[in-house]
Amino acid sequence: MLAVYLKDLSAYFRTFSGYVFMSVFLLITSIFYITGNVFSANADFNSTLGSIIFIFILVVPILTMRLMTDEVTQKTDHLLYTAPISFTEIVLGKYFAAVTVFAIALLLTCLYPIAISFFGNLAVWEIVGGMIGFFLLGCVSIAIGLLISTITDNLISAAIGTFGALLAILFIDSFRSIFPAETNPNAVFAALLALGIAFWVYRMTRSYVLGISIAVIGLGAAGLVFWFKPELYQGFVYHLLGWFSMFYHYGNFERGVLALSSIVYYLSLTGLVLFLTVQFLEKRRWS
Amino acid sequence: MIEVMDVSKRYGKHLAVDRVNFKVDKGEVLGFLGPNGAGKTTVMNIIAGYIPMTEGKVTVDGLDVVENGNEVRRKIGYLPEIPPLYGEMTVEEYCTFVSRVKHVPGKKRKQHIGEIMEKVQITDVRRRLISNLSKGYRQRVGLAAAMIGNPEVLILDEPTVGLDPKQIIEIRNLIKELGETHTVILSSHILPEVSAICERIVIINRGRIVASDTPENLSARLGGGKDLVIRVPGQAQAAVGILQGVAGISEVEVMGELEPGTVDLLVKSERDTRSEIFFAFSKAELPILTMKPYDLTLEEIFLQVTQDPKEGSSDVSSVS
Repeated sequence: MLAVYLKDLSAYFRTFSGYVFMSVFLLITSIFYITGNVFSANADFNSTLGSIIFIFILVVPILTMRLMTDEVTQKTDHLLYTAPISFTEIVLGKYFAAVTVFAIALLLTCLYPIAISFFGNLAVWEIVGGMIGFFLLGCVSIAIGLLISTITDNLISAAIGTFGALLAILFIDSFRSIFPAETNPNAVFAALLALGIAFWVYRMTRSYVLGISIAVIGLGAAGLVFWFKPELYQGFVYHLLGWFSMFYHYGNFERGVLALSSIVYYLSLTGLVLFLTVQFLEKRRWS
Repeated sequence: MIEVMDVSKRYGKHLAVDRVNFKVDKGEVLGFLGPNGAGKTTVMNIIAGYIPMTEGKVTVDGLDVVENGNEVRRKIGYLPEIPPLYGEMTVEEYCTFVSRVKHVPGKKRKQHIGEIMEKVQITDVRRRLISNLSKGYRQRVGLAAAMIGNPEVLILDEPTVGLDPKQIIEIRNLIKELGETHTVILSSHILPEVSAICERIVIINRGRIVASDTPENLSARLGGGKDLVIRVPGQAQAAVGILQGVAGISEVEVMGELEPGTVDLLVKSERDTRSEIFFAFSKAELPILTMKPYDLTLEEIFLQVTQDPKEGSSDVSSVS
């Protein structure tokens, strides 16, 4: 893992992508810092951070688009996949390399609150909490970018795909409220979801038995819940989408609260996405 | 050392490799010969663990390539058709990266890389960016990467393709040298190359093994260089008439007029009849303009090998 990590970390600074990422990141943060804190003489750095969480949509694609696609186009995946290291090591090495570049950029932005501290009272621990949240949000976004870079096989589609995926996640909050909150449509959606998962499992494993049994269990569970506790379906889709709304979960950190639930949420989401990335590599090798 | 058992590979409906079987003994240099698209690269990718097979089994040193993937990969150095190089690194940085990936202990790393760079003669370019290197150097850096970590098995996919004649000879000599200490599988679509380096040749066509033998036996089966191509001036009839008078010639085939006013003939004989042919023509005052051994092209070899599998040596593993 260390070998891949060092290689990809140095690749960021051999090619331009590391510098481009840092420049864009620092440019956007500094603009918001100057308008939000300096010009308005406001010491609340957390609200500045909160207003720029959209930044990940723009900068994460720069950071992650090359990670996997470059290996495929340069045919260096032959070296990695035939070396005595596992896919997990490759994925983690690459992931931590990208996270390190992001962390360096984020550390540089610490200069902004330090500059504020000379002119006013700084809520230090709240800002630390906000920074940790901002960092975790970046970590999830980078994991998503890495997954998309693995799924696509060229730079452009990796960049646009990551951009689109993060944009869609940002807008989840806006459009999840349009789903009806009544029981019946939500129950239908739950049934469709169960079928969808069953089909996906069938596609991944090519096993009729597994696919059909998952469909039967899923539909059965959805039916039982509908029969005995229909009130569980109240706003089911709304809550389900809320689970994916990682920008919404940033709210706690913005208020300076270091909520354990939000930290666990970000870490587990990151873990899930990285797990999917490894699974995807494994699957592609076998197909 | 390497055992490939009934290996097939299917891409959708296309059967790229069809029940391939062969063995490579320890220390042997095996040539893998076939035209482009025959399935050479696929078989090598499977042995190296880059892709899994659809059916069958491959073992290296008794270990299954799929089940004991990591252990097997430690034993194999693989040079794919396109060397897997990072253009933005220097040669030395690249070798260091490869040695890390292959778990070469930190203390030995520098010395190990130094030795290998010396062996493949890339020491003088070690501080240059790989993207600025010529094709020949890139190939050698790829070979160095395969050798790092001292794997017992080297799998080299068309190591001489795209090189100039001088570089080809250098790489060939290097592979010969490596063959003394390693088990090597080498693929190529050039027969003389394989017969120059390898102790045994496996010929593959359309995903199937069509022959597997030593270069000597194989060329003996394929006419052994006793067939000649002769170019003489004049008409075909006269020349054929003269050749029919020579003892030992079994067959004469008129190949046609390739140079104006001359005729080309393919002469098949049971023994070396070159002197007799010379004197027969000189007696008839007909000068021989060209006389050369008839080289079979790869396609003709395939035709020959696939058409009469019963003839030839005993070690024919035609799968048809």
